[in-house]
Amino acid sequence: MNNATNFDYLVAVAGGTLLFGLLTVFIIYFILLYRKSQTKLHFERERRKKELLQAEVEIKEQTLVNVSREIHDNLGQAAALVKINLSLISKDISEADQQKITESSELIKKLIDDMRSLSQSLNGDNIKRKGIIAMLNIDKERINKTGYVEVNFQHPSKPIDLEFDRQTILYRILQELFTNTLKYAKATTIQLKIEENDTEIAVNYSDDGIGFNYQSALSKGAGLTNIQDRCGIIDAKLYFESTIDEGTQVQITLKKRLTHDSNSSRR
Amino acid sequence: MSRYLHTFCFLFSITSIVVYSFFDSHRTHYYVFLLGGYSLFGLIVFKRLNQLSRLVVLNLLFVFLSELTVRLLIHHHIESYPIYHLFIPVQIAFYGFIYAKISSIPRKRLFFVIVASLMLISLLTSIFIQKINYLPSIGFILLSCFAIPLSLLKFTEMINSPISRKLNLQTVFWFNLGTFFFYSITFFIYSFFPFISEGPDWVYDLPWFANIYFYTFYFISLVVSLDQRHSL
Repeated sequence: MNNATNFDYLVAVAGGTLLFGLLTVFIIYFILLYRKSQTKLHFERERRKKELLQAEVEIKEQTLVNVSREIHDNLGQAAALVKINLSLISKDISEADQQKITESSELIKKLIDDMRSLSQSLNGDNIKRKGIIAMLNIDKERINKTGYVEVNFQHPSKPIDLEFDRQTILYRILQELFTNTLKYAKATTIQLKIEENDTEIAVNYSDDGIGFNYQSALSKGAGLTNIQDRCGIIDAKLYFESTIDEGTQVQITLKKRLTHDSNSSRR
Repeated sequence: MSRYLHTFCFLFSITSIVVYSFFDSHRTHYYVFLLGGYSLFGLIVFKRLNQLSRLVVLNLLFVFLSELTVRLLIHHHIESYPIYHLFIPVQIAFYGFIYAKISSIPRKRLFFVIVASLMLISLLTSIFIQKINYLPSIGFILLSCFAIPLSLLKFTEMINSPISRKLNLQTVFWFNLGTFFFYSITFFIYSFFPFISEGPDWVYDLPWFANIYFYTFYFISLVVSLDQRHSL
């Protein structure tokens, strides 16, 4: 090869290498940029989903408050009037009928107590007034009264340090867990423990019921999905462990203060 | 079908290297065979493809028939360059139509006026500058100058409006990647041909590699399209 050919040879090789290098760099750069955009899109979607869920929870909470007020104000008042009327009637009738009236009065009294308890449990405003610990104690008493399941509840001696909105959602999650245990688990005891340190709150819930398959239960009903979604809203980490015939364990941990990069993780 | 893509890409690369290294005289046959295979595949699954992929199949078929005709003409010692002179305006029309479909090009009427003008320029070039018995390198440069910006525009759009599907499972990505990759090389080769022509022998093999990878990217876009039939 002469000198001119050598130069041309070099130009061809250098040009070709540069072209392939540039093409490769471009493709890699594009892929990285695209992934970044996808991540941004993902976070944006998650944020919107969270906002939507938050709005849904707020609407549900408001509905529950309305139902609670209705139970307390109207049904409770009506039941109280029935009780007063029964006590007035009882003076003018035979002893056998009086016995029936007394039994009815007792039933009405129980009905009023149950309605009051239910009304308290439904009303999210009570969490603001009393805190989640007091509300869970009310639920514990209510469930224990049924005699089907015994709830053991361990908690810090003072009210937990968590925003009321998040307390309300955490409370609804625990109510959903209680409901699931009562409806499906055939359990005899429920252990509920709330622990708090400087940065985190940990909730451990377990029952000794028949357990379930997590994935199939997730696809069947809205209960577990609700729990997952609510955990997402309050940026809580949810851990479910359920073994057939050995019961279910649920662990929820959440940071006391929300940070921008905190995300929920689920199993 | 996307799950078999890795295996296909591996086998394709190995076969291409083997053909390149040991079957020098069969390279062109291999290229035409690939084109025919991809076209046939496209025709078989045509009804299951989305709009973009159907256009790609039609284009593959056109390229296959053009290349087949070129080989037959060469075989019978007849001048084959006129085929390429016809090939270029058709390709300009194809890319114009397809990018108008998949990109949000503003002023579409103006865009189609540009497409028509480029087709006319390529034909005029074939008549007055690089006559039909010569390789239409100017036409190829023109086509590259048209296809590269369109693919870049689409890449930009993809970044600005991403979708959640994985990039390697997107029809548009493979189509665009093929177009960008092939026409960048085509532009380089034909623009610097006087320098390159003096270079090593393997420089002449670049278009062969560029072509087989180009149409393989299009084929991958077809395969990917089968799993996402209802979107572009």
